[in-house]
Amino acid sequence: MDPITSLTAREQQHMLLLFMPMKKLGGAKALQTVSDLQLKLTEKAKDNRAATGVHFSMFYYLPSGTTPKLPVPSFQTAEGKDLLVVQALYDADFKPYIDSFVNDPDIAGGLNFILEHMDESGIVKDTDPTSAKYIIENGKVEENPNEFYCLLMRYNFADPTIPAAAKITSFNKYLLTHTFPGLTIEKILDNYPNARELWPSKAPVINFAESKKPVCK
Amino acid sequence: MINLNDIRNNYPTPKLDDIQGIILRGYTFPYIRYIIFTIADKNGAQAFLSNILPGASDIEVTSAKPWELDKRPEYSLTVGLTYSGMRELMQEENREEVEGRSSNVFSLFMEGAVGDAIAVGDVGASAPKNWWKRSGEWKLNENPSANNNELHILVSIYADSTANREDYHQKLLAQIPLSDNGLALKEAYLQDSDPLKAGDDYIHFGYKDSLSQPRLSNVPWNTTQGRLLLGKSTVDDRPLVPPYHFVITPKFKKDPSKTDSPMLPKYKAHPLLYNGSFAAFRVLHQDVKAFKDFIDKPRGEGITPALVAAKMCGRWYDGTPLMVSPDHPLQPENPDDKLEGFDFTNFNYMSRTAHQRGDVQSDDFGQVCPYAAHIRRTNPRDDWKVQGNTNNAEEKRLMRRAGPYGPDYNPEKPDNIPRGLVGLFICANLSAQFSFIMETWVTNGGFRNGDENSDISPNKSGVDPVFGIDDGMANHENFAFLPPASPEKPKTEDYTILDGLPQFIRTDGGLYVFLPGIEGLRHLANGTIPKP
Repeated sequence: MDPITSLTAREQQHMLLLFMPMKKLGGAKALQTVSDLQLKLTEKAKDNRAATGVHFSMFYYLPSGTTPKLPVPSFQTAEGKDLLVVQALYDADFKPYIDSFVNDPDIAGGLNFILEHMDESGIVKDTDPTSAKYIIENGKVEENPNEFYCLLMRYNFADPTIPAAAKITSFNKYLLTHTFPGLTIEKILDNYPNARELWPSKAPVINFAESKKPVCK
Repeated sequence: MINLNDIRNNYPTPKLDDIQGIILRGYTFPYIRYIIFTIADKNGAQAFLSNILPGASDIEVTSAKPWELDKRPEYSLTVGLTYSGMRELMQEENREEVEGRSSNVFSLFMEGAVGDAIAVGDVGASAPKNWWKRSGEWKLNENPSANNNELHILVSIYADSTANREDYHQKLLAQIPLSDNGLALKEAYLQDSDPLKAGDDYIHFGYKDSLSQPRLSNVPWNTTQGRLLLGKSTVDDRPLVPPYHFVITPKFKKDPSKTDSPMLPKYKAHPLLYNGSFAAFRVLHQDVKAFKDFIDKPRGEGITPALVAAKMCGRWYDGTPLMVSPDHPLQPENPDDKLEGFDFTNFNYMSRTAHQRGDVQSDDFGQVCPYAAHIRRTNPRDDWKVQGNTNNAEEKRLMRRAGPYGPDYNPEKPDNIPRGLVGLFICANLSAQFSFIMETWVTNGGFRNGDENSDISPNKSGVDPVFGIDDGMANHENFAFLPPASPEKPKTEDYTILDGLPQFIRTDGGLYVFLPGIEGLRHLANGTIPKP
């Protein structure tokens, strides 16, 4: 077999890194919703892994007026607002990736819940078709996919045109690496021996042994 | 059995006299001329639009109003405006109000075909910087600009003869007023479309085309009575597609008797857009020599040029779908082929339609019609495993009004004369329909997913093989298909892989245009907008 030397956009991995302004307590509610939703989807055994192409995701919320426990300025909340941080590495272009969520009624419901708890005051007018309030009041994400893309892009630090690469030849905004560029979720499911049995769509509870961290002052 | 078209529903009946005729009904005029104008004078351009309103002069925009005695007129006329054209014609505050209330359908229109080029695969040789001067007649002294913003109005003349086409073109030009600096509109580009010797509806690659337009509901010519009057079969098992996917329609309750009934359509639009539509105008150069060379390459036993062409398209040259006849085109003289009542479009991929011809029961593995095949990926019908095909392809459909340009290709005398396909791909929402189909299904493989049998082709169906693409991607340089007799669950090694798939179709021009309703056109001519 020859090494992979070209990858279509569909096969590439890209990063999402959102910093979303939320109403007070909205960040916690959003996180709870995501958690509940994930549980619901795994219980339903609806296998949307290849369609969504998410390799990993991270959701983190910062309550209003607090800071991450780091000795440098990092994530910040705006005054009177929570902050929801979302990070993911996903397959394909931004639009089909987001479409795969919007087109799933369960996930779309979760997205709408998050938008209902956003606070975009001082950032964008409520009358702007890409504002969370406008989207919610005018057919929600299901009827406003383009507007939803633009809402997300407003808070996306990541650049959806930068592919994760094993060998970086040029970069501008950041470096994004991947040990196996082009190894999509679909390819893993199709080609890793017994992938669907080892990681069934109705995910079992995994007993994670305790991981360790170094002892530091 | 009750024809689905006769079942009453709550969908609004299209206001045919306010809709441009070509949107809902193909007129099958053989001789077409597409003319793109640049606006040199706003007032003169508005006067031109007034002059072509119905009843205003001896050439007028054709509405969808049924013809008397169903007799086709000598010509029909369609007019569309680009976003830059609407900017030229509309007061800024009016335009902003329309944009603000129409974001669903307007956002991509504002970007235009140039802005959407990468998404729809117009890269490399098809990139916008190469458009217009390679095919057709570019008539301006200046070269096309990078953003094409000087292209404002697209007029299409459909005629039953070349003489009538020329005659009505001259009548059209006579409606352009003089301004201080000459004519108010300048012709920027002109492209004719004429039928090929093979017959109407054939394209340069040799296929019969335009066989499967959406089955519209709520239009008089598609009822049982309407079809019988037209001498057409009333047998059509395909799901109905509501006209609001092609004609911009105000929101309505799906079920008026329920307070919590969902509202349709999904998009929202300012009343200026009502009864209008959007379209992608495409000039698609076809490299017939490259296509024939690829098809004719010796492939081994049983893999004939006709089979390769059929697997690439999903139909045999004469239009017979592989799903109906996997191993040969239907022959009228062969009694076994039972052509009676066969209409080329009544079939599915996963579960047979009630009246589907042939013996194929299901093609979940793509053994009969590859997932990669042109007609399967542009209209996946009941293939629910295809990403975005959530409602039996009801939403992701286009009205295709396109035909060949350039002379017939003669393999005995190869030439470099431009030839290809030109026309309008019409929909209510460019983003959800045209751009989605091109981006997600045509130019990208991997659109079919769901389980381990979703798509085991070596390149995940790569790119539409009838198009090909010049992007240097290894997965786009081959086309793979399965022999019909492959095992129940085929393996990757069962595929016949045809390497060296070149680019056959190159985009030589593209515009996103708004095709206003008659009242919308009147407002644009008057510089007004209706109240929401």
